Amino acid sequence: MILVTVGTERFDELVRAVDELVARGQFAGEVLVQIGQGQYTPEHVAHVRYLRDMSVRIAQADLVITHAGTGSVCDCISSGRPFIAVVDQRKSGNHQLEFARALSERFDFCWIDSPTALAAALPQARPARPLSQFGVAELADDIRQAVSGRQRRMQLA
Amino acid sequence: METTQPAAVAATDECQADQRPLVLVTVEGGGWHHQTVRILRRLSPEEFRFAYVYGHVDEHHYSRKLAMPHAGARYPIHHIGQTRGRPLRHVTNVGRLALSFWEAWQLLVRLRPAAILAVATPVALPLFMVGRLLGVRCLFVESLTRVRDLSLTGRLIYRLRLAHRLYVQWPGLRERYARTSFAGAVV
Repeated sequence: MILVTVGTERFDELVRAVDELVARGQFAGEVLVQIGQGQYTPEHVAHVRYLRDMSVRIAQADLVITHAGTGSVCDCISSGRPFIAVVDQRKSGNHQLEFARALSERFDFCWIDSPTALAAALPQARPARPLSQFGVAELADDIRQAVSGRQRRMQLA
Repeated sequence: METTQPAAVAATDECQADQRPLVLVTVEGGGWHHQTVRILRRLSPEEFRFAYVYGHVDEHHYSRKLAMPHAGARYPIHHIGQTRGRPLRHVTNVGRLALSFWEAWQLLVRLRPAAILAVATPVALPLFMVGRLLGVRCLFVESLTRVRDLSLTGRLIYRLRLAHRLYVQWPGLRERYARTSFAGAVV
């Protein structure tokens, strides 16, 4: 199963690119596209608006093509499945591009800055490999201490 | 302000004798939800009580269907008006701002949380403004996607000094904004 996800918002350009690749027979195997709030409805491939069990679906997929949102990309990283992250440059402040670029300093993974590069990137899909460690455990621990008031001094941020 | 689970609120009132600090967590969709969940999984319900506040009025909106950890009758869900993707609404629309203030005031006076935890959600603005007045600890976690600059919500919270802690998830941002904290990232 090849899973394509645009997250909770929309990314019609990616859906359209996948639809065209399917029409051209670029994918071997079943493809499912999660289109979110998208306006474009693919003609050549199965699609759904949302998937409740996205993390599970990602973990079971042979290949994931995802928008470069934090939730989806982090799911892909922790799943250990091959994936390609596609940046939606129209998202506010083009933050997906910054995110993908910064994340690629900490993980080796395949990402592209436009759906038009998808066909060429398909052979590059691979599981993410950590290049350094830094994590949620430390962040959560600091938050725990801040809530409990155990920190020495509350800094006014 | 609309309360979606009256039974759940009653359950909270019964918990008033509970000594665990109440953490009011803001909930919105997308990656923010993912990051919030990742952090909450590391905060034990044995140590804290939780309540959730949604920045949406539309009960059919997808974010209302998102699963949260520590969910259940004892963790009631509230919401205080639509803000998603429109943080400026709280600044440019005076009526909207006033209503958010009032809703946030009502909610915070009723719940009296020890802290508000917001992961990059615009609904943090009215909650933090009122929370500061009421002595609630305000903790804001900037989105993981914000690598070089704060989000609009983050910048407002920084400039207005609304948060006791403003966590950024990239060390470079910490260097750029002196009053932020870096303690790790939700990856």
